[in-house]
Amino acid sequence: MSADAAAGAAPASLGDRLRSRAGLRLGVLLAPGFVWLVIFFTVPIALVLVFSFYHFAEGIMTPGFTLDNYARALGTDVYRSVFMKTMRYGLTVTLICLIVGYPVAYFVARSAGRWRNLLFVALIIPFWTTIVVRTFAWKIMLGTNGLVNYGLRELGIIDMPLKFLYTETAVMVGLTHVFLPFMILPLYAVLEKIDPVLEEAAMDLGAGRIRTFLRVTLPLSLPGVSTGCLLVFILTIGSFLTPDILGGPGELMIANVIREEYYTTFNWPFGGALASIFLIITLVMILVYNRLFRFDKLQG
Amino acid sequence: MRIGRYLLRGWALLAYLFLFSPILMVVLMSFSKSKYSVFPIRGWTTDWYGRAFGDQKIIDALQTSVGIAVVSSILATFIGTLGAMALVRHQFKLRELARAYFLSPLIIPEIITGIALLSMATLLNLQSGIVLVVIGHVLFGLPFVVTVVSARLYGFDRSLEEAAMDLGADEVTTFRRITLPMMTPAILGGLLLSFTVSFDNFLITYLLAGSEVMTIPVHIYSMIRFEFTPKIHAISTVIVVVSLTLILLSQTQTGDKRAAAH
Amino acid sequence: MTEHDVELTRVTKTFAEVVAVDDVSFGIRKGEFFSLLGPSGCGKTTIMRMISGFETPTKGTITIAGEDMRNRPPFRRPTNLVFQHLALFPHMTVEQNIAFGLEMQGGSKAEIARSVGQMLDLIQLPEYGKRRIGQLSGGQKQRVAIARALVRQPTVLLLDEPLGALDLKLREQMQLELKRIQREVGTTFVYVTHDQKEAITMSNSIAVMNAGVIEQIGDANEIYENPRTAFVAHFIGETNLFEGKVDAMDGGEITVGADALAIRVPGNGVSTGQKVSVSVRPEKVVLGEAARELPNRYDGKVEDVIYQGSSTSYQIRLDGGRLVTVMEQNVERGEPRHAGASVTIGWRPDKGVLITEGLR
Repeated sequence: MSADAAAGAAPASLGDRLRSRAGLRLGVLLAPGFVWLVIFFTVPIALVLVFSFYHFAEGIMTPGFTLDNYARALGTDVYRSVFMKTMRYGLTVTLICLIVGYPVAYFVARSAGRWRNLLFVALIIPFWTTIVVRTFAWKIMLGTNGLVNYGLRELGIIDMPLKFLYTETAVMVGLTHVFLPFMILPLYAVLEKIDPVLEEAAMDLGAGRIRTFLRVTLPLSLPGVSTGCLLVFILTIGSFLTPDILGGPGELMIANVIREEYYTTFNWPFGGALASIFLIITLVMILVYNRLFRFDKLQG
Repeated sequence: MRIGRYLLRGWALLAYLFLFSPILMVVLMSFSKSKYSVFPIRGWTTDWYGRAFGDQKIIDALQTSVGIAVVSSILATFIGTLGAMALVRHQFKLRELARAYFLSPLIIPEIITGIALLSMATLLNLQSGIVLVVIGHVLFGLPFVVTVVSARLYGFDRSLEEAAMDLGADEVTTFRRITLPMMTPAILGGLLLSFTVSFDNFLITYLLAGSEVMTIPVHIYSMIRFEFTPKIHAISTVIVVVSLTLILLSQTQTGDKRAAAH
Repeated sequence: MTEHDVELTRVTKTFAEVVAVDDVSFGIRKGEFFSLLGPSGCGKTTIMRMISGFETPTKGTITIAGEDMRNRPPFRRPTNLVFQHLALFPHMTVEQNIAFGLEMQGGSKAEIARSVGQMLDLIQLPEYGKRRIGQLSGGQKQRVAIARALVRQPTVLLLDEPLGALDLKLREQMQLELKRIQREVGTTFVYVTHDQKEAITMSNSIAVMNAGVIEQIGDANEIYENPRTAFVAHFIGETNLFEGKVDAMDGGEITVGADALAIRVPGNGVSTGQKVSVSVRPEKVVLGEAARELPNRYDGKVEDVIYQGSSTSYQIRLDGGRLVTVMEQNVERGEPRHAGASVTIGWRPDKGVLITEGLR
């Protein structure tokens, strides 16, 4: 009953709660999750950070403190360009997903009841099909004898099959395919909640379809846009499998390079430095998103 | 006005085509006679399924995948359900931070989690790949379980529990007779989702499993890279069908589609 | 008083800094249909939750059937609650819902089944035992919730605005139904509502609450005809409230000066110059010929006419500027008065009520 009584009161500090019976219960509920996350997530990531300051010579990692790994990661053209390429892929894929996904989300959100459920479930099916199969599928689609080349030849657009595989195009297509649902789903969640009556009201007040969209629908859907963009961007820049299977050596992204360092050259300090920089970029993105999102709320 | 509608519908149709055609292509190819992934398809056969299921490596990989998924989804569901109850039922400072912490394995790039667990395992001289893989899969299952179960708990009418107490049930009985049965669908939904997350996972497994442990996505990957065979099409189709079934099941369980998707 | 089933003594409840219930004392007699009436946030639900055990009083005591309820959890109290949104268990059938409370008490399956059957008869849904909750209509759910609470034969049945979600027609039906059930089982009912009509229709006794305190307790007639505070006069029915001062006293009758009017009203125990109010119900004011000889008599113009079929409500602007609502029964066939017409209104002094408490 104490939990009920306290529900009406101001939230107490965690420490205060831990002293009471409800606090004990809270502790018991949170403990397994926190223990798991601390031991198997936070501490290991901290280890990566620590190792990134270690020395590495002749295949052996020795404890110490050096910034050499960071200097090399940020100062070498090869690695800088991998970072730049990763960011560029992230931005491009995010933009493509937004442009492709917004109308789809809108269409699904505005479909009649039964259709909407069907279309929705259809959206999450590729979402839940293992990325290995989906990427492999594109390898078949884009191959010399794949559907895409076959289609283009049948249509008389080309004579000789084009080389799609192991190019940037293939990687972009694959990434878009894998992450498009991550854009559509948050957009859909927001658009579905916007009452169509608001759009009707705008039109009643003399706004055309385009102005109705720009002045009513789009601003109201911005939270979905920002969530979708953040998700797609962060997931894209962390891609490993798609560049690995669909790209050539020139399309390697940061995750592929980090794996190389850990598993091929065994240079953990340097791999750790790359990973740390990557982690920081990701965290900054999330913080920026948080800022912008709250800013949105203030304006709303 | 009409034209706008048709444009929208056409666009959506193309997008769905884009999402589904590769998967359908794999399914089609799995029935193709040709030894190569060639289009158009010249003849049909179901041989590849027979060969895939006759391949001991594939069978082993399937078994390993299911075993890992069962263990890690049960763990994730147990831990995540408790966490969701704490997040929804209790008010405390930093609650939002605690929620973000539970969801963070989804946002931190998987490669980083992978090498982090590798670093820890090396430091502790932990050599069992399968344990590491389960640890990683639980991390990725947690956010889904927490989201699905807390969505259900938020919609849970507290007065149902009060009604039970008013009718003479003590706290334990109330939990057993009211809270738990009401939450069962969400818990099952979380279980199915975390099972799928584990069953589908590639990168963490690939990084941590070591040479002895082979799950089905990792096995398919190595077949793609090193010894291409149309058995891949067949086994991929099987996996698509399994995932599809699990997802449709979890949909009927949770009833909350958005929670399931995110 | 031992005839009381429920007794609250100086009960106070504060949430954080907010006083929800402020030093409240009252008793509820056995077998009574007792209503706690007040606007939302007045503390009525908090009182009910304290009686049922979901909240603990910050101060004061609550006894039920002579026993102190301190530290008694809800599941050990002789009370049962019909929740605002009913809180029927969606994963159980009608029977299972009703049987739940009996199972908690223990008892043989046959006994439980018999009691459940009796309850289904009482709520006139004998064929519905196997139904799922989702298959019931609003009114049927209502009855099942009542049966589920009554089956434990509580000393007191508490009802938290259970009819709020129903449409008007169904609500009126359920009001009669509730009265019938209460007559048949004879249990004390405590009914929480913000709907004054509902309280008046159903209750033997009404406690009008406002801002954490009880303004007045009495039967419906008492509360309507003799409101003790301005709040009660306003909250129950419509009224014309004249705020002013005592100008003169003449035996049992005093003259109040309010809004530039001199109003005669019965009253004693007041002194000249004291701030008071006079409440006059619209239907107690007469118009035209009938007002001619009355001591409280004023001239004005009809400003607004609202024709309501059996009666007509007029807004009359008196010459001094004060607006008065008058309700006239449409005894004669014919048209109501027109806006703009000059008219005299008046009432007998004993039709007004002198209010000395709770003035603003």
